[in-house]
Amino acid sequence: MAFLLYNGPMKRFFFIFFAMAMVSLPVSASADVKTLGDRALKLRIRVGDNLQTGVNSISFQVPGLQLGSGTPVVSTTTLDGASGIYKVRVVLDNRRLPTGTARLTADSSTPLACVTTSTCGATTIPFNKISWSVRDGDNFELASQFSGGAGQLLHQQTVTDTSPPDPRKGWRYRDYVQFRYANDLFLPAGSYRGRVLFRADHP
Amino acid sequence: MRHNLKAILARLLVISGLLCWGAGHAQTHWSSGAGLHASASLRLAVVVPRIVILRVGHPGSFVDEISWDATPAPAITDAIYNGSIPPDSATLPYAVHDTIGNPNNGMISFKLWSNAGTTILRAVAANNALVDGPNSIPIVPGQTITTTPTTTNPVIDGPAKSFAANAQGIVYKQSSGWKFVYHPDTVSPPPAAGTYTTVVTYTASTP
Repeated sequence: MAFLLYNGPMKRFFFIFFAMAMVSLPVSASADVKTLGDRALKLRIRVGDNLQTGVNSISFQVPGLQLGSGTPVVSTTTLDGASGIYKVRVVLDNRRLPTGTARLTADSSTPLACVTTSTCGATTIPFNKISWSVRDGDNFELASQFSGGAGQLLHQQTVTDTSPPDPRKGWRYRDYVQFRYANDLFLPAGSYRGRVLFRADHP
Repeated sequence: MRHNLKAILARLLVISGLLCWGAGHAQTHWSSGAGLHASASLRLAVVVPRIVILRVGHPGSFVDEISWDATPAPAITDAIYNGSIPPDSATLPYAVHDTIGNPNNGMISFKLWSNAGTTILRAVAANNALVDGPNSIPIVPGQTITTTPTTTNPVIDGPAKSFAANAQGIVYKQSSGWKFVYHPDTVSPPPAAGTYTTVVTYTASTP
């Protein structure tokens, strides 16, 4: 490079300036784009509250006189950020990504398991007994109940260079979900718990 | 010299700017290697209460009634009686009906659900007797009134019947008809004429 060959009185200034420029480079290059809460985040999925303190829980309290009746039971657990009857907020943030298609999938392959084994033993509830409806149709819109398997597609988005996002927020796909338990099983008394893993990928 | 300095400074700014832009661009193309992904979880819980559901007779709030009419046919009059003698050594499984007028030969439907393990069912008659004013017909368990099928129908004022749960803790039993038979031959001394009633209460419970 030509300026490195310069050997005049401003040499020191140039080297300092250049050194500062070089030092500034790794700041952005080393940002961990996977880190939750990082302003440099590129892809983020949030299910539930905005506190990011852990995994949220919702529950379905089955009325005794309706057990196994087939009358769906709506979760009444209200998480932070809920919207009316839609108790769980889901947000997919996709900031400044190149072109491509991002996908949001669910893994519900592990059924809800009995945790009060003295009353319900090894009984399980498959996750396909859990369904939902969304407020806006902007997320979770590609299915309406868990499949009970892995890789279930809930949402996908295609990003193009001709659809630049808001430089501050990127693409945000937010919706509010009401979950329901089918309640068509005459189950042993007890508590059953399970966990669904949601994953967003942008290849 | 000054001219060269400006030129070099301009080049430096351009080069450093390109380097900075290049770094930012590399970040946006971070997925060129392994791809971006993020994950989150949600826990779900279903809480199922312990319940026992028992139905004896018709659905709803009815209290069904069964009765035995021991009046001989033809009825006894003050004329010469040519009919059969009222039975005193036989059962009376006939003339049984429920309160809503649907003769069903004494059959009362029964259903029992439980999701709380082994369930017991007990039948207790008020006053342990059929009563008509000051008179009564004591109910001797298993003698005065018999109940079938014995697999589901507990003896009135007798021991409780136990229903074992399946491997999942569920009890589901039903019968299209419980039958009740009155045995007047076991009643001694014979009761005075009258209408004797009682109410049998069935109670299902889990240990």
